[in-house]
Amino acid sequence: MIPDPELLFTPIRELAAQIRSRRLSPVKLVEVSLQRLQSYGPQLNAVVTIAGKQVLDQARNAEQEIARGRYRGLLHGIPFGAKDLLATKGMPTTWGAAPYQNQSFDYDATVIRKLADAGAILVAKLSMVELAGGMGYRNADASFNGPGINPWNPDYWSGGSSSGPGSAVGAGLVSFAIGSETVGSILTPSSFCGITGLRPTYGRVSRHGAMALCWTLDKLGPMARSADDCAIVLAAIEGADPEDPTTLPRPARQAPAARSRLRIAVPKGAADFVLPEVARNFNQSTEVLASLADVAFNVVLPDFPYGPVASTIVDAEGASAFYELIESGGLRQLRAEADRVGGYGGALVRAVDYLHAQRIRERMRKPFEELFQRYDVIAAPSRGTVALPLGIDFNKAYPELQSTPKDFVSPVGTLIQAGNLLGLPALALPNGFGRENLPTGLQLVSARLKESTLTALGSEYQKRTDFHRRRPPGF
Amino acid sequence: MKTTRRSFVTAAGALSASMLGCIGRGAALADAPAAGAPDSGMRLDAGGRPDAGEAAQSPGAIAQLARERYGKFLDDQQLKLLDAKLSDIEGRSKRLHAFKLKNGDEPASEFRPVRP
Repeated sequence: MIPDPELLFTPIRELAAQIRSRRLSPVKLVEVSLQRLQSYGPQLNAVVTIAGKQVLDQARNAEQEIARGRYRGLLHGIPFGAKDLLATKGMPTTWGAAPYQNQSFDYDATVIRKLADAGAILVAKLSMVELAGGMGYRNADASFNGPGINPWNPDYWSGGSSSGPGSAVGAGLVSFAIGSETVGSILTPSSFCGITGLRPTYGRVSRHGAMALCWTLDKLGPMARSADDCAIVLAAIEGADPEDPTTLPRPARQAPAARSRLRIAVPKGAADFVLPEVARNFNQSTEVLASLADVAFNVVLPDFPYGPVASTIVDAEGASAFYELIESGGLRQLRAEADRVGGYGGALVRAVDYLHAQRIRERMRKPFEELFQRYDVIAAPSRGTVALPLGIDFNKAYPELQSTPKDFVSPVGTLIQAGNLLGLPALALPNGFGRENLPTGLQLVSARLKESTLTALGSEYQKRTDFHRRRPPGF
Repeated sequence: MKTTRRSFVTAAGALSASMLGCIGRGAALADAPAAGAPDSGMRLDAGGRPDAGEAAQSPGAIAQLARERYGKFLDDQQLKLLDAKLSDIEGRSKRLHAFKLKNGDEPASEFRPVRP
C-alpha cells in the first residue's frame, strides 16, 4: 500500500501494476491528485484549470473497465496534466496569455485524445509562459497567472515555457504532464524542477490542437519522474496523424545495435563557464555514464550560428502565427514588458533573413549525421545554471557568469539550439543539487527517432542514481 | 578573408554592448539567457553578436518603419525596448549573412504539392 503523499511520486509502472491488480483504485489516485492540485497548485502558480468532478466518473469507469478485464495498458487510470496550449474540449485553453484567457475549443488535441484512449485521465491544464515565450520575455513574470514557482525553492522560477508541467510534476501534483518545446521549453523546466523530460524527434508526436508558435520547431513531449515514465507516455502519444502532415509513422521496433556498448560524446567545454555545482554534478554524471558506455571527451560540435538561426526562425514564424494580435496592438495585454514589444520586432524580420536561416539550418544536417555515425549520444548539462531567481531579469541572475569570455560559445546552449533546429530528440535528467537546494540537470541528445536509446540509457543512469526519486521539502 | 563565427565576436563585442544595452552582456552569459527564457528568439543568440558584413537596411530605417507601423501602440519606454530589439535583429542579420551559402543551398522548409 503506497501512502497517499507518495502516490504521485511513484513511477508509472509501479502504479500501473497496483491498478491492474486492483490494489490501487484509479479513483483514489485521481482524488489525491485533485487534492494536491487544489492545495499546492496555487502556491506554485502551476495550474490554470483543475478538471471538474467528471474526472472522478472517468476514474470510476476506468476502475470498472479494469475490473471487467478490459485493461488498456500502463496509463489506464493514471492522472496527468497538460500544458495550457493544448486544445481540450470542455476546458478553457489560455495559451498562458490574457488575450486568450477565455478561449475554448470544441475538440481535443491529438495527444489528449491519444492519452484518453490509453485510459489516462486529464486532471488539470497547467500554466505556461504566455504564448510559449515567443514574444521575447526576459524575466519569470511572463504568464497571465504569475510566474511559475519552483517547488524546490519558492524564491526561484520553475523554468519556461512549460512552467506548470515542471512544477506540477516536481511537486507530485500529477503523475506526468505534457509539455512543449520550441527551443528548450521541456528541457529547461525539467532541469530546474528536478524531473525527467523528453523532447521527441520533430514530427514524432502530432501537434494537432497545440498552439502554434513555430511550425518548423514546435514539439510536444512528456515531463515525468523518470526516463521509463517518459518512454511509457511517448509510446501512447507518438505516431502519424492525418491532422498534422509533419508527423512520422511510428518507428519499427529497433533491432539491438551491433555494438552493444554505446558511444557517448561530451562536447569540448561542456562544463566550462557554467555554475560550479553544474560543472561538478555534470562531471560526476560522466563518471556514471562511463560505467555504461564509452565516453569521448572534448568532442567539437559543428560550428554554425545556431543562436541567430533559431532566433530568426522563432521571431518570424512567431510573428506570423500571432500576426493579428500584433497588428491589432493586442500585445499590450501581455504580462511581460518585453512581450508587449517583441512581436513588433519579429514582424519586421526580413524574408531573406528567414530564408537564409532556413538554408543554414539545412546545412547543419550533414555534419550532425556524420557526428551521429561516430557517437550514439551527446551529453552535456541541461542548463548552465540552477533555476533562475524570481524578480530579476534573466541576464542579471548569476553575475559570476559575466566573466565568461565573449568568444566562448557554450556547448550547453549550442546543443539545445542545434538539437531543436535539427529536430533531434533529447532527454533531461536530474543529476544533483546546487545552491539553495536547487536541482541541476543532464541532457542527452541522439540522432532522430532514437528516443529508445535515450530512455534506455536514462533508465540505466537512474538505476545508478537517486536524484529522480528525491522530493522537494514540504510536498 | 573568410569571417568565421569565432573571429568576429571579439571585434564586435564593444559594438554589441553599446547597441544592445543590457542584453549586450548576454554574450558573456553564454547560455544563461537561453537558460532563462528558452523559447524566445530575443535571447537565443545570447545577446546578439553583430557580425562583419553589411545589413540590407540600417537600424534607423527599420526603426522608422516600426514607428510608423506600431508607434501608436507604444509609449516612449517601449519604443526604446523596440529599438533594442531591432538592433538585435540587425546584428543577427549580419551574423546570418556572414555565413556564406552557395546558390544551390536550399532552405530546410519543405513544400509538398500533395499531402501524404
